[in-house]
Amino acid sequence: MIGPVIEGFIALFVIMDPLGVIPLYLPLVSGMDDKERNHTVYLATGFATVLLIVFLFGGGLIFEYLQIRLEHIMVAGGVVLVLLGFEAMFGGEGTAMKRDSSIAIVPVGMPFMAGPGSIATVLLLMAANGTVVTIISIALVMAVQFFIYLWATKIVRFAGKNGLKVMANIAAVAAASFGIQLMINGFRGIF
Amino acid sequence: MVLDELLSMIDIAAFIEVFIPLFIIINPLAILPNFIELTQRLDKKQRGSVSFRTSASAFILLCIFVFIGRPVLGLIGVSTAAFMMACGILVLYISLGMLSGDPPVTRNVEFDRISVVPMSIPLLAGPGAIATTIVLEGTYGKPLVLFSLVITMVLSKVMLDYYRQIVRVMGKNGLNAWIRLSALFFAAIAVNLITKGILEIGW
Repeated sequence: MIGPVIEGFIALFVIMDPLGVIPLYLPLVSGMDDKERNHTVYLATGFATVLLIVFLFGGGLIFEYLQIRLEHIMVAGGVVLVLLGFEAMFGGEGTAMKRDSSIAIVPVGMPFMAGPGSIATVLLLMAANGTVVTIISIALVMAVQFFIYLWATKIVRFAGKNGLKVMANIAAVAAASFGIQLMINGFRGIF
Repeated sequence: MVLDELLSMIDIAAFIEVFIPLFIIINPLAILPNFIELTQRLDKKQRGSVSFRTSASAFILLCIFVFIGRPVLGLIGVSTAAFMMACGILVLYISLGMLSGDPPVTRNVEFDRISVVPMSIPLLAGPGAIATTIVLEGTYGKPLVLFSLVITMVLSKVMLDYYRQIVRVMGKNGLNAWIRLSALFFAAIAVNLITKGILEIGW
């Protein structure tokens, strides 16, 4: 059982790529005080975990009744990322995406912490390893993500305003690129 | 007795396949924050009146589309595909707004005391609901869709009336989470509508 759990953990960790996502996340929370930032991380982690569990148990039903497929979520997630890229590059302090803890769910919870790739991976792991193993893997990887995001905010304090701007620009390009790629992959699956 | 007869007339599986998408896309839970804000200075009786008018007018609008939606589209020369794509693009725009916490629907609207328009249209009966209704009517027929609409709107009124309990159970964060989660699903549905339209045109 340990083997599959670790397998699942690694698969999820790679696809979630928290270290790679942090630069996208930091500009969004730069304007918050510590309390609000931590609150955001709590909410995001909770939401992402619930989202994965919901898809784990109900993925089939969701896809069937709403007549959507993973590819559609991929395109939608891609659009969100591209818009985020715009935000991060051109946005100042007061842009369309509100900089309060309501961002915890989107985009931090999804697609940062638990994106369409994670959802797909969860479904695959379910089929390969079974429910219990997958749930444990999810719990482990979300716990790790939680701490990474929580401690990332310490970087905010050291980075300073300019450091964050640089990160934001790089992150913007990365987000937009990932977004477009996600959309392309999604479209490929649809057409 | 009557229930048995009724149930045997309705194909339960098909009903679920119609009801669930409709209920999700109409999404009465997402209306709650607007409803609460809009009716904060009203008393219970007035609030009941607003909730009734909201759900009733949304119901009537969707019924109109059930009955004359397809024919009218044919008449004005708009293909179902084009209509689906248009609705899809609108839903995508709305859902992206919902995701970033600033729904375009409620941005430029002035709420007055007994206003029903911003709430039932286009919140409850928006482009997504209209598109879904027409698509479902084409596949499953009028009776099932009408029946599902009745149930959905009755449930909507109930949910609006019992907003206090719902908020207590879900909490402000829970409601927010639901709105954003459903916005994500809406975005996916929008993509589905748009791509279905493209496929139908046959690019």
